[in-house]
Amino acid sequence: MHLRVGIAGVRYALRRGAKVQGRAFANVAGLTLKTPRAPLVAVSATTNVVRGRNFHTRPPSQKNVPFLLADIGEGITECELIQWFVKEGDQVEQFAKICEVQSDKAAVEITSRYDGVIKKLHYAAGDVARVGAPLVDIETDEVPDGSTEPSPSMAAAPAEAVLPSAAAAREGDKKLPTGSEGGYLLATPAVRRIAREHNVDLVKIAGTGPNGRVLKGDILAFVSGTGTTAASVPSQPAAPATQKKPSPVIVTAEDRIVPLGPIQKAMFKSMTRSLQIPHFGFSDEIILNAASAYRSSINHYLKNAPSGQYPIKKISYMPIFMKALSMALRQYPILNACLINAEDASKAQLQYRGAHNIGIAMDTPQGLIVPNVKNVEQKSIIDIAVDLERLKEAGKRNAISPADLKDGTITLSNVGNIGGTVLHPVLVSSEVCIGAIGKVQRLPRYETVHDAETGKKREIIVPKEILNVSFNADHRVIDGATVARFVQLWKRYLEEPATLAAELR
Amino acid sequence: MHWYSRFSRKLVQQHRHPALTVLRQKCAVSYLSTVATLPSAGKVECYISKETDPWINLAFEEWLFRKSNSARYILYLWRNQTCVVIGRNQNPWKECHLKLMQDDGVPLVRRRSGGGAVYHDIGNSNYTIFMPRDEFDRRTNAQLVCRGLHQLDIPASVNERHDLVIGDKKVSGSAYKLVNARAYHHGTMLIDADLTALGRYLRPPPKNLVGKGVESVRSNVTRLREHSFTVDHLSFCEAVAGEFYRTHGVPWREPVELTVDHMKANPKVRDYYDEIRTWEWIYGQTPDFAHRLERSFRWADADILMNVHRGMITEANVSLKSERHIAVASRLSECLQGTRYSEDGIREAFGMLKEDLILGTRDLEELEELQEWLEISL
Repeated sequence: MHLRVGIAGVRYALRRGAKVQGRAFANVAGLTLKTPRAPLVAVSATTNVVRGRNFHTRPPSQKNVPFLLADIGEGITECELIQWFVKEGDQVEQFAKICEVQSDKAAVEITSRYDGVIKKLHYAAGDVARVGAPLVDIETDEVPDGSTEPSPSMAAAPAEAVLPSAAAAREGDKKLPTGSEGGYLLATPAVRRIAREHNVDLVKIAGTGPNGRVLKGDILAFVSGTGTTAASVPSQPAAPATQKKPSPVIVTAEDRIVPLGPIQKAMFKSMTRSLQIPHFGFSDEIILNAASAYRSSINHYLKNAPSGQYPIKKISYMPIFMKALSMALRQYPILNACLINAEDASKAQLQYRGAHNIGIAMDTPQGLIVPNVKNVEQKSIIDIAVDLERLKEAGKRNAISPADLKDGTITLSNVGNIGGTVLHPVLVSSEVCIGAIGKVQRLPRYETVHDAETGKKREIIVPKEILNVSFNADHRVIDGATVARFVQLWKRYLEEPATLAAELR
Repeated sequence: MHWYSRFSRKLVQQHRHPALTVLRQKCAVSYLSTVATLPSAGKVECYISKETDPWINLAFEEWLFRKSNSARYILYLWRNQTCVVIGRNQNPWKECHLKLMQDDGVPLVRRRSGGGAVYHDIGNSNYTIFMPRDEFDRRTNAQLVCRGLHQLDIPASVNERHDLVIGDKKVSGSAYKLVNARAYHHGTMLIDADLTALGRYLRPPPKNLVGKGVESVRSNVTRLREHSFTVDHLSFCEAVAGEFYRTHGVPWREPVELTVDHMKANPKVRDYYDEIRTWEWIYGQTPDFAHRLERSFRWADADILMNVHRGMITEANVSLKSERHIAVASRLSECLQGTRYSEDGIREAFGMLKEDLILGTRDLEELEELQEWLEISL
């Protein structure tokens, strides 16, 4: 069949595989038209090019899509094809049975992913089919050029525009949750798309497919019955636009939707995990006067030390707290343990860890991170202070290395810099104990003194530096009494630093 | 009623409160009156079949598989009278001793899932677990049944082929079927089965048969009876159902009893039943194979090669290595082509042969011998 078409039509036809005769070829190559005659385009029956001029509801462009044998799990790479339910030339619908395959103990029915016509069966019954290799070729109109009739004059533009949006529509189709297949499958995704294009409400159509499913033919019959076919075609240019995914909702000025940052995402995951652990909380007050004096004397010593002997000039309370914690852990090693295989009570085990890698919660501009100081049990208070200083500097520069963040065994969180008295810290999921230190307050407390004059005991009010601490432990493996005794021991080390020194090794 | 009274007795032991027992008995009465229709289901259901006909039970299984939508978890418990069940894609001539089964009246059944050949009798219980396709996992349900066995004090475990074993001996085999949105895992459980019969029927005579299809993997077997004096079909069902309900976090509910009344009330069950009883399903679904038979008679050396497709002989090559029998051999090859690969088919082929050729008494006797041997050796 020979037909005369315009230049754009020629280009369109060539894309579809038609042959262009002699003289016209020069035109297509981009040279100017010598004679005003339009080129002849030879159209064979299969290209279906010019039929696009008519308002034909069947899409003119078909594509042979190889349907691959999907992974059926269990690491199986090939299986035997037991029987075909279709032959070449059969029309299939999405979710119709195509064949049955078998691998050792599992018989699997494979259903079609597309609507279309079976073009080629790649195996015979009894052959061994490879997973990932094509199983059948299906000629389907759904895949790349999914729109209905493009008229030749604007064929090129819509074809390009349709490709990305059809791909997006295909993505949307594939993401259809399997829940819809089970209960109320009125129509397959392909049919739904056609309904969308024709602006037809699926509920209005009586389905003639299995289980009352609405088929493509039902929609087309419905559409032609109400004569909306002609009206839908001029809206063709708009159709590709409607196939695109909806743009994100623009919210009003008051609300703002912000995606989670990377540290927030990590926090989300780890807190979800951690709060599945049953927490036991224990809070207490520590009278810091002695520790305060202890710290002052250390700082005085550091200030007057010959320069270069120590890399730091003063320390905060944290190194003292950490060293005291490590000493207390020697008496209560269970608080430095880790629970493994925790999903099953019969398989769970406690791993006692020798190193005391005490984590320090740090507040950086990016959020909360918890680097740890390694082997506190082997370090002196000044060594710990030096490490802490290094971590703080690195934290300010966002240069904390992964090695610092790994292998923590217990955590101390000092949110008291900011404030707070009674706290409820959340366990790190690989640990069983966490302590949080609130702020230091100067508060009045009673003290009993021996009155020299009267020889009697008398109570007076004295100001004390009071520090509130809260410890949380994994109540699956640690009971309250252990935590209480551990904290009392730690408190004693801090309130009587001489005992800290007495246990030095 | 007998089955139910066992259940209620167990419940009495569990819940001694008399009011509760009365309540359960009341429920039993009202429940039995609605036996023909299935109650509207929640997400987790349990069915137990009162029938022992293997085809009815398989029809129930297919019905439960196809009728429910994806979101349900269903447990189905059943047991069959003596039979041999082969997998979807197996060759019965290679997997079991058909002659012996025929003589003893043991039927052959082909199921719809994959896997190997198993022997069923009233001492073997079966379980099927239906689940959504994306929850399918070979190990999970095997472990569920294993936990059920632990409740019965039986030290079972799951091996790397996802079979249940006690020590190194198999007590249960599994097979699976997956379709678009659903999948099932079913398995056997040797409680009290006759192991000598199992060995006899599942050991075919040696033959030179080469074909596609799945071969059974033979293992040493043992029975639950060797490890417990009190286990039986009902206690096994109760343990597995209890574990099933517990795993899915729902309280115990009486399993629904399936009887032949359900088959009458639901025509689909009847369709599934009819389909799996046909020769085309049981024998015709055998994947292609070739069988070579050789025997020396005193009058000739027979060498017959048959290619079989869907249970029908598509090509036969009969060679009798005897001048006198050339005509017979070639005519027999033609007659065998297109007949069923079965005793009936052989008889038919020989009948055709005797009509076509004019044969003397000696020839007829020799043909009889050949026919008898062929029929036995299939």
